[in-house]
Amino acid sequence: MNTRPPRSAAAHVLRRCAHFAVVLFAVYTVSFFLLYALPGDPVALMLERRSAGAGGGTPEQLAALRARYGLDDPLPQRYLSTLGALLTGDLGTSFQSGRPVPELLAAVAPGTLALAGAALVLAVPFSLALALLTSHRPGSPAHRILVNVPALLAAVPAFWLALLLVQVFSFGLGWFPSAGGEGLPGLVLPAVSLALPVSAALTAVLVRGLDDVQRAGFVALLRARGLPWRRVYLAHVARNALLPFVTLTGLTVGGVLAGTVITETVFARAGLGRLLASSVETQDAPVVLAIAVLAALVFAAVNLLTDLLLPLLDPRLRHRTDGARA
Amino acid sequence: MSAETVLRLDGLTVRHPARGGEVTAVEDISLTVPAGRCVALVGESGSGKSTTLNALLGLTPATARTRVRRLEFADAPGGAPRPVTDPAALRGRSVGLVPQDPARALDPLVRIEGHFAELYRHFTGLKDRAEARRRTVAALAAVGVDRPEARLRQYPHELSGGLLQRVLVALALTGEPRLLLADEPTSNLDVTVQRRVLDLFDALRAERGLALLLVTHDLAVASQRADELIVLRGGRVVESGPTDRVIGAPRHPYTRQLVTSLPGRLPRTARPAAGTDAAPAAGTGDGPPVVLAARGLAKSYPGARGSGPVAAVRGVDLTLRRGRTLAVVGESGAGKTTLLRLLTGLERPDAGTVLLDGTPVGTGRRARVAFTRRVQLVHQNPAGSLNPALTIGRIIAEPLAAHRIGTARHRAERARALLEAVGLPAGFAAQRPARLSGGQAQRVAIARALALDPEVLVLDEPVSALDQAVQLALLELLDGLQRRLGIALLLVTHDLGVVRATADEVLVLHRGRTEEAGLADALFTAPASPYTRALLDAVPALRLPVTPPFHERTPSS
Repeated sequence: MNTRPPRSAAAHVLRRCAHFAVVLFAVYTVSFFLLYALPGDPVALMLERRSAGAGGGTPEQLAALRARYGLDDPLPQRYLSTLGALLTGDLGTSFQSGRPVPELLAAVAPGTLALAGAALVLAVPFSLALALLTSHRPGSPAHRILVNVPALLAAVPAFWLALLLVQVFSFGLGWFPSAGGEGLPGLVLPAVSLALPVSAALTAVLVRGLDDVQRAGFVALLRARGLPWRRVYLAHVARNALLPFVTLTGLTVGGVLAGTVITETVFARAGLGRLLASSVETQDAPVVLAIAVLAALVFAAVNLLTDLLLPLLDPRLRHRTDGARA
Repeated sequence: MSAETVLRLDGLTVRHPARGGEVTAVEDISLTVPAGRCVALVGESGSGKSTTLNALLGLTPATARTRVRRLEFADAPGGAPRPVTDPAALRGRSVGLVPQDPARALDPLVRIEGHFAELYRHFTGLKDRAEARRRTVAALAAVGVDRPEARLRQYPHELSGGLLQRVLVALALTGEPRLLLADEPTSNLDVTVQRRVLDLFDALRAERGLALLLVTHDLAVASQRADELIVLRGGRVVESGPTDRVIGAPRHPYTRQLVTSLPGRLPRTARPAAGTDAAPAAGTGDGPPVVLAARGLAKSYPGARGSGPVAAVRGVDLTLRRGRTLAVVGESGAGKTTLLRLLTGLERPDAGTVLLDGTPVGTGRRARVAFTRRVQLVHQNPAGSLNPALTIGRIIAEPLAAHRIGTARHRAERARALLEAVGLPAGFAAQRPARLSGGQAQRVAIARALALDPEVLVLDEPVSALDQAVQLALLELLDGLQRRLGIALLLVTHDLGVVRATADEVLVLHRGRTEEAGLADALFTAPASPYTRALLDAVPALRLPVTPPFHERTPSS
């Protein structure tokens, strides 16, 4: 049966942290074997690229490079040595550019973090406002119209939306740069095109939650006690509906990170997403591995945070007394 | 009857829009509640009780069309009733509402003190937290909450149902209303708790001159507590008047039917005489052979933080004979459900054995499968136990399919035969369960349980979610099936009316132990344990093995 021993809050935190470590380890393992067990020779590819297609290198050069990157060692040994290096903070050297991976990441990470952060900063308040507005009067014409907006937003492909935004606001109106772009103006269009599909999912879940909570018995009772609807809606309905919203926002961070790959490519922004795309093309395993582990780290950390946050928001999650059936 | 009128409602009609017209939820309802009196609205589900309550508070959905000829409310004691144009104005300050399901009636994220503080702020503009706390403690103490200071920081899920209902009464009183609307306030509570909550209402009426409009499906509760009864059916008042008159001499056939269909009034003579043939002396005599038995069953679950395991069932013995009915009764938390799960093999006991035909049930997979063919379970919530995606025929045939019995065609035929056996048209086999009423759904669940020709049917609160008349029909069905098929029934329930109507033997559980066990007649007429006696005393309709309660109240005129 699903009866578990009693545990304290500290044990709960420890257990969650252990989950966090397991997720990171699993991501590393899967990425490593996917990258290094693939057919194809990254070193040959690298030399070919570097020599600009002029026939690659001699077999001696290839062998020397292989030895330098440790590619001749058996796979399990490389797996362990790479893991050891990662744990000591050594992310390795890019096959492609020959530069240390941290250096490559540091060059582009701020751009991506700004993009992802801006997208979240747009998406979360936007979806909150839209959902609260939609659900305020269930059954009203506004509700019937607005409730369909998220589905519409979600149905639009991200890249198409991005192209549309560029067409209208860059080429048409000339308000924002269409590609690259530094600072805030360059950030607006990519962030919006990344934020819209994300806020569609968030809004849909929140509207559903708000509508469900409104049907709960305690809401009718609060109204029957004479409390004004605005008070009931904001202090009780919205607060209860926010719980699943917090969980989903945590999960959304993953979607935003994945979305940067497309967005950065469409808008020709330097960033982790584009670095990842180009590194996958050239089988630049150390870079791909580092980005994968980094993304997993961010994703797992955010979800660890929401996991630890939820018991603070919901008293029912604080006492874990499974079983004890009456 | 010279008490001043607090509420007068005249000619309430509520219509809901529906496809191709309107559906009338209630039509031309009129009622008057005097100060200090209790008026009960009695009716089955769908009779319009809740619609009437909601209309009184202006809580009907915006799409509904509500018409009232006259609505009057007397706000001050001694004042004449004044017309009310917007019923929403009555909420809180004039009329307090006590809801049906206490467990879901409070915002789960807000501490008890928070609920009160919010209302004080709204009603009196009180912002001082210490003062709000002082008032909350006083309000909780006034409705009999023990250790009120300790409750302030607790969350709703940490309180028991009875305690929650007291908190809800206290909350309904914060606006100092003159009328309480109680919507099935005790139908989800144990009988002993139910009695205490109803006593609280009586006390409040006496102390504060509060008027009470009690909405209930339980005629027994209404007959004990109300001064006046209003019987609703299909959105109309079929009969109203002083309680004694309505119960003692019902004029309308529907009221007469309600009075006679109380489960506690099911004629005992209709039972296969349990005590007459060879009179088995409480389980040791000859009687029919024993099918299912348990010896020293025990089960505990891990407890809350810091505390040890909680023993749900401790050392229970029981014996169930072929063709007989054994009822397991007790309050919530007594271990009924755990015992049931142990007896049906859903959980393994920590100690003790379950015996089928005198041989212990093995723990292997094969032994368990063989066991489930002979012991079948019917759940409490009929609608929830039927897969909405399957047709009713498939649902009933599912146990046959699971045990690979017969061909698909044979199974379909059997499903239709079973439907007829439980009193439903065979044509239901092609339909899906969504359109079934509660009683029909429970019949389907029983048909499914019978598919494997079991010897024992274990029923978990089989009728507690159903209306009274439907309950009676279902109990009669079970009775007929038992006589025809010789099935043994093990009935787990908190409803002593049902027990009295159906059981040959009774086992009273209290805190996981057997409090008392024996023949039903003996136990009801002369309970040995004080706990059983308290339980029997708390049942509204059941003080009557000797004198029926309705006759107690028959007017002398």
